[in-house]
Amino acid sequence: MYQKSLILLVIALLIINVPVLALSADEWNLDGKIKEDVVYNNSTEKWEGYSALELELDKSFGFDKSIYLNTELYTKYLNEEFTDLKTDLNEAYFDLYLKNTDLRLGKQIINWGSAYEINPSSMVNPYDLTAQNPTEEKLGVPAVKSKYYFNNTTSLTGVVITDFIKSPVPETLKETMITGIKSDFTEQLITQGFSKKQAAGIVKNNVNVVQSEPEIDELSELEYAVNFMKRDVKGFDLSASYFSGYEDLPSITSDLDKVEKDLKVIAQDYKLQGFSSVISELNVGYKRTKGVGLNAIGSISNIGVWSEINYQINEDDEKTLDVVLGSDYTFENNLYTVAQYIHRGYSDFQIAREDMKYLLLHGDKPFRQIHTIKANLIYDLGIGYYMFNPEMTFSLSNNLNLDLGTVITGDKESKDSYSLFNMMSGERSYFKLTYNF
Amino acid sequence: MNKKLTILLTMIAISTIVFTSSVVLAISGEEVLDKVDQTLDSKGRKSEISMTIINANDQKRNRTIEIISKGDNKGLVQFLSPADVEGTSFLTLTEDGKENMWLYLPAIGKVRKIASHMRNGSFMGTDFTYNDISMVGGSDYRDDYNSSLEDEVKYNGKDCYLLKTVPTKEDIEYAKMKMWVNKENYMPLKMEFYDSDGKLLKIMKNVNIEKIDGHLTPNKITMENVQENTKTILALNKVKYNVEIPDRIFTTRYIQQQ
Repeated sequence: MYQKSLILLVIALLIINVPVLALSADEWNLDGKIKEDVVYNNSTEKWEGYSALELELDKSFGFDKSIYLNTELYTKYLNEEFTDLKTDLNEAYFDLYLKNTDLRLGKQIINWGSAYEINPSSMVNPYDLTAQNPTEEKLGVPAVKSKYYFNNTTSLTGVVITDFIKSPVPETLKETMITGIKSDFTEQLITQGFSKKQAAGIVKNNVNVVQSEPEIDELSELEYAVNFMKRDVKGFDLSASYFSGYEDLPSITSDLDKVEKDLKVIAQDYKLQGFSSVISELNVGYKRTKGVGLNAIGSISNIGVWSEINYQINEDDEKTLDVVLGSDYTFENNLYTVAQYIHRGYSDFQIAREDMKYLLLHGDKPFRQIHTIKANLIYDLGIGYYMFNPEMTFSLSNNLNLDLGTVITGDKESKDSYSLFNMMSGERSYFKLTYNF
Repeated sequence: MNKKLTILLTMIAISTIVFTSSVVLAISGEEVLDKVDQTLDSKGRKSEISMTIINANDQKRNRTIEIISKGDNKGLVQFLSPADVEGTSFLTLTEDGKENMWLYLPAIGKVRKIASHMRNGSFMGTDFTYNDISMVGGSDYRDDYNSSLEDEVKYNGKDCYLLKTVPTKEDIEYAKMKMWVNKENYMPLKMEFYDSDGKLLKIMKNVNIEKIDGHLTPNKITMENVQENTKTILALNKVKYNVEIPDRIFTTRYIQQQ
């Protein structure tokens, strides 16, 4: 509903401004890229592919108005066949620059946070978890953003998101979550004297999984976010943010105590009469959540340093604390290095989760002036799992780049469906050809 | 006797004049560098530059950039092409002798503060460091270097002051820099940058200098890395001096709007 209102508002603004826009319009600017990604997945031993044409269209109307569109036409090669051609509108917005305020209306991506690649305080846009590298792929959300500048270094941004957009989740991740909770129920029934086969059958017949998404019909259900930024405070850029909305990833929204009580009744029925007509519902949905983030970035004694802290509490009082501490340094030979520590702590969750601690190391260096070699290592300090991703980028011409890379992972699998590793694709080798125009 | 005295007095007078003149003409390295900064300074300058990066295999990559500067404390470099770097902006602001730099990368839609170590890193794959490019953008050499006059030499047929300069800031990794300055107009013609081991690292040359809007302007700047055998050429497409540039251009707000 609000998404439609926003689109109508953007159209209305464009119509109102047509005479002014026509008079002051500069040239349309069309850029784009043709992308060809080919991946060999080591675990499935299958080839996957992604072919896309991305177009970017922008136009300025004098100094104070502009529009921008980013759209993608693509097909994927999965399970030895191509999917139908699909189109995604990644971003489409209208900018209006007033004296002290910048307004942006439409589908947009908003990046906050000071850390390298992983920004827990940037909660406005969901990640595309079906992408090969989800930390680099965010989805646009329909929103109204207003940024007020008190002066050149201080600003306050307000964002209202008019429609809920969820993170596309790989089916395997959903299955892991649902299978996990169902196997817990099965275990409970086994302890009550049922055989493994009987317990699994009871859970299958009497526990229904119901999946739902938030429908935003009231103002109070809108998602919104605020960010206050102050640059150059003793050499540091500082910011604080607040987000109120929905979690991007689905989780069990049922009261598990109630499901367990239902299970006891079902088990009793089975013992007395061999069947039960009681059906317990296991709801999977998106919880309302609030988050407060704090960011700082600057340098100490010639070394770049940053910190990003985000505290989240959802509608069930489940709490998540993310702390990211990092530093970077460029050596005389142009080797750029990043070392970053990531800690995610959980408390008061219905289903207990273990804290996660990661170390991220990154290095990149140009070679033969126009090509680049880089490597990322993510190491789970808790379970010893790692993911190593070396990659070379060859500049074949002014507009044509070739990326060659491989992802090597450790042996241990995390059991937690929310682990950073489970959100990323497994071992693979790939090449990407990108032509920019 | 009188003749001898006259000759002696004349000789004393001539020597005095010559000595006094030489004292008046003597100039310190600091003064030369001040004059270099004055020569390169402009109230407001807007230029478009074609950039060619050449590697050791003679492969070339082209970029187009726009440099906007105001005085010696505000500079902005924006990439105009090719498409994959278009919109990338680099802002330099100097206040009370302290230089701050921010980089805007359209791909992440975020302005990121550049830590001091990055100032010595390659500027977008070129042979220029972020520090070098801020000098091309109009920053003062005097703010970053101490200078002494090493010699007076000829370079390309022109009488030059040869300066030896040493960085005053810890975050500049060059051990020293030599500068050949045209005596006639205080335009630097050549610079040699030495690495921390004292070895020659890079050579920068200002070529085809002409007066545009009353300002001496090199039509071509080359930066050659003699250790890596690579080169970056900046060729001036167009330039305008004495342009009224509003201060709002030199803000992180503006670079996000572009």
